[in-house]
Amino acid sequence: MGAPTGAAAVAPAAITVNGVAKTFHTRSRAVHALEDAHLEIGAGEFVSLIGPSGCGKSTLLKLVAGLLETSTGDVRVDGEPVSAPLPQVAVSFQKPTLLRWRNVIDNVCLPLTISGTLDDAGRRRATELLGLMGLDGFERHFPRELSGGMEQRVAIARSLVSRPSLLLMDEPFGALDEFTREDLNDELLTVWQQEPKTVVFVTHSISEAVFLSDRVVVMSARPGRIHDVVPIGLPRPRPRALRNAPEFYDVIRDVRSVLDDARGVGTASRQEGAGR
Amino acid sequence: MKSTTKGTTRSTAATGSPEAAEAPSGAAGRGGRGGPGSLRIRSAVLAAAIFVVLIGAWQGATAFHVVSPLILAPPADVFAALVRMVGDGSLWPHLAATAQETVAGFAIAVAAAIVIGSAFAFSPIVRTAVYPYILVSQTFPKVAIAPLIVAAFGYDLMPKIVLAALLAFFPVLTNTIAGLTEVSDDEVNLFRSLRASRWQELCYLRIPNALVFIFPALNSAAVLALIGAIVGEFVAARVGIGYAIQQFTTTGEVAGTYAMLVVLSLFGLALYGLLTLAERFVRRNR
Ligand SMILES: Nc1ncnc2c1ncn2[C@@H]1O[C@H](COP(=O)(O)OP(=O)(O)OP(=O)(O)O)[C@@H](O)[C@H]1O
Ligand SMILES: [Mg+2]
Repeated sequence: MGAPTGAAAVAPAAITVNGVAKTFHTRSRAVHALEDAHLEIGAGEFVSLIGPSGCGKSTLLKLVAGLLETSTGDVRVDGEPVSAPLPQVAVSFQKPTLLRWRNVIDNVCLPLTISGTLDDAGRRRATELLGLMGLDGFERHFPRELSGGMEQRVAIARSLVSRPSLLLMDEPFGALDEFTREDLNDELLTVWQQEPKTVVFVTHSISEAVFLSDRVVVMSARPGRIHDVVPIGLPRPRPRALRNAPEFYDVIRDVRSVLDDARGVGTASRQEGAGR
Repeated sequence: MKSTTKGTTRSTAATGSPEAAEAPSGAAGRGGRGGPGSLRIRSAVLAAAIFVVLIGAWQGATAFHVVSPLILAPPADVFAALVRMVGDGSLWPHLAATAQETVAGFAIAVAAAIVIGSAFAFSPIVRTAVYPYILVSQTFPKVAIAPLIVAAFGYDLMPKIVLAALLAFFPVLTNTIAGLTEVSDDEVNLFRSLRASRWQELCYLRIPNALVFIFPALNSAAVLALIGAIVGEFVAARVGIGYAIQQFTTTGEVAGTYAMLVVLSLFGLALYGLLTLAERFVRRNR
């Protein structure tokens, strides 16, 4: 397995979310975005967060990223309480958030530029990551010349360039069509297997969550809570063909029923399912 | 933010989004490069045809006395006047004066607007306290105080530079503020997650973002600076294109007046071209 240049073994990070609540105070009222969240994520795990809109997925992710402060409770990465963004953590967003005035390779190198560690090796790694993402030859292109899927690939390469031990992704493929999304899922898993790291992945897609994850965290809204955690027993590595396998659909059905339960429509939909 | 005299700038600030500002130029650039060469040739032919028709209409209007020769001079006479003024060198002092006033006023305005705009962007207190005054002075028709400015700064280049700067200042100011502050939450979060310092956020995010807003404003600022200089020369001057226009008009040398107008539009085009070059250079190197 040809891991990119000098892929120094960075040990994946472990996460502890301990009794965390987050309340936003807007002008008119207080929004309880997240309440009493407990979660342990092991080093090297791939965990997805799924749940209805507004259930606090992005909030939880930003708390782990150190982009928000908890109202109560604490978040720890490798045992250290998170109070500000950590160097070993990379974040990617629903929008690719590429800088319009930088070409692809310079966008990928941005984290190295900011941390003052950009050198030839870093540039080579950026080029290799772009190759891994299927973007050979696009180094000098500008974001406006790329499709949405290509932009998101660049964003992923950017989040990997600094060899993070923890990758936090907030609906990175939410805006993409099904086929592009599946391609990117495969590429993400390939990278994750080559360079082990902990991944927390927010998504609205049950099949995406199941295909990628070791565990799926199902959340419920108003107030935002962790409803249940579903382990995904599907063996790895997970080939494309798994998407057509009956056992894949079985797991999807399990997760869907937990999700329906979280949304308070559980019984109705299960009866419906049984009727068919 | 409403001002009738500066429609073009207002609209860049209003449509605000950098994509909107950048997309047309990008699309045009790609069309020009990628498209067949015949497209370019055909549009050049069309432009030449329009030019010929316009000159022909102009010639016709004067030849058949559709318009009084006291108001419109025949193109040949205008060309002759232009050639004469270039030949005997009488054009240069006027052009030099107006160019100096315009460029100096423009430079002062841009420097001041960028400095003050940055202060605004980074200090909410300054912004809320001072912005109302800026708005009031923006809607105020500054050419109305041209005589006062001449009275205050004398009859040389100074009052024209001040007028040029006053007129050019506001579009650059508002677009600088917009460009420095209108970055998305995701962009800010990205930089925070990369542990960027405020200074790095400024250099790698806010300033490059602001350039997308500032360059369109510079084009209108250049035109406004030129207007300021000419108005100043109308009020009181011994030299300058505005002064020459007044002289030609009062002495009934209509062809001379039109020759000056031609010089003005060529000068305006030159400014525009320089700014486009500057923009291309800066974009390539940011
Ligand atoms: N900065 C903020 N100020 C006030 N309220 C906020 C803020 N950020 C989030 N919220 C509120 O907190 C709740 C949870 O938001 P969050 O963005 O975490 O949801 P989400 O699960 O990511 O939703 P989606 O699936 O739509 O992205 C929502 O009700 C939202 O309105
Ligand atoms: Mg969200």
